[in-house]
Amino acid sequence: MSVEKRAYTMAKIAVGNPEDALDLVQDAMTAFVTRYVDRSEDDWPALFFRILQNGIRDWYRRSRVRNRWRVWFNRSDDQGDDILESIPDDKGVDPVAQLSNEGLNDAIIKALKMLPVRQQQVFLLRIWEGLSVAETATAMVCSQGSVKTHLSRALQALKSRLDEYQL
Amino acid sequence: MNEIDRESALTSSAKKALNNYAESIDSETLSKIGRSRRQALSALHKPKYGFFSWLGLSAGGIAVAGFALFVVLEIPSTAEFEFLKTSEDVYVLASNEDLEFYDHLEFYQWLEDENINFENHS
Repeated sequence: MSVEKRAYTMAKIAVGNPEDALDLVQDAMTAFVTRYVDRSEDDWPALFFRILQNGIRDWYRRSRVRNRWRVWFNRSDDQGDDILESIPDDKGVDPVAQLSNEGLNDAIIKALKMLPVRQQQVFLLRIWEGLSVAETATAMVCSQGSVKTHLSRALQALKSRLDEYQL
Repeated sequence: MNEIDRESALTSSAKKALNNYAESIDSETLSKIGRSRRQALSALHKPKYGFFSWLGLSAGGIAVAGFALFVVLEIPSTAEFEFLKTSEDVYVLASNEDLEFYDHLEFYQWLEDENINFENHS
């Protein structure tokens, strides 16, 4: 499977929006070619995914700012949507329970999407992409210890969310 | 099933699920991804730093113009005669005289060198 397909899948799981995921992959490919093509081929995977991860981080930063403005405008506008609608309902139906009748593959993808983005991306890079701990740390711009911690937490969360499938 | 087996089963199932998910990307998106890849690779064959090369050319042009200005301003002080001669040459060449004038140019030059003034002789 081509690396751009995997990159697109990772971006889509992270941001949830196909158009934004495509933009992130396009930008990462262009930036990689213009910046790092002279580097050793062994470094390419970590460097490419580092650019992609930076893009995902920037996307989250931008959407946080956007959401803050949106909330502010909604507050000041009496005719606006009810802000309570955007607050998650902790006592509502557990999304995992809704997965019980769906296939294992869908359940895994949904469980991955529910993970905090750092845990999610470390899991994808280490387990799916097969990067080493050091390469994942380079891609995520964090320490190797953080990579191990994020991966361990991701595995714990996935195990508990997919418990009903008896993996 | 112990913890390690459980973890191994989970990662194996996750890989399968992710492969299926990636393989289910629609053809339109795939073609967009492919086009982006080609565009990124084509950037390799373009000259690097396009904007900066123009900037470099401009800087080169400014340097040449500066040098020319330096020559024009500095040379007359050390070799004023040559400069004036050159400017006269340019003046003569730029004038719309008949071809006959240019044929007799050497003669006029000789007259000037000999400091012969027709008005004085007449």
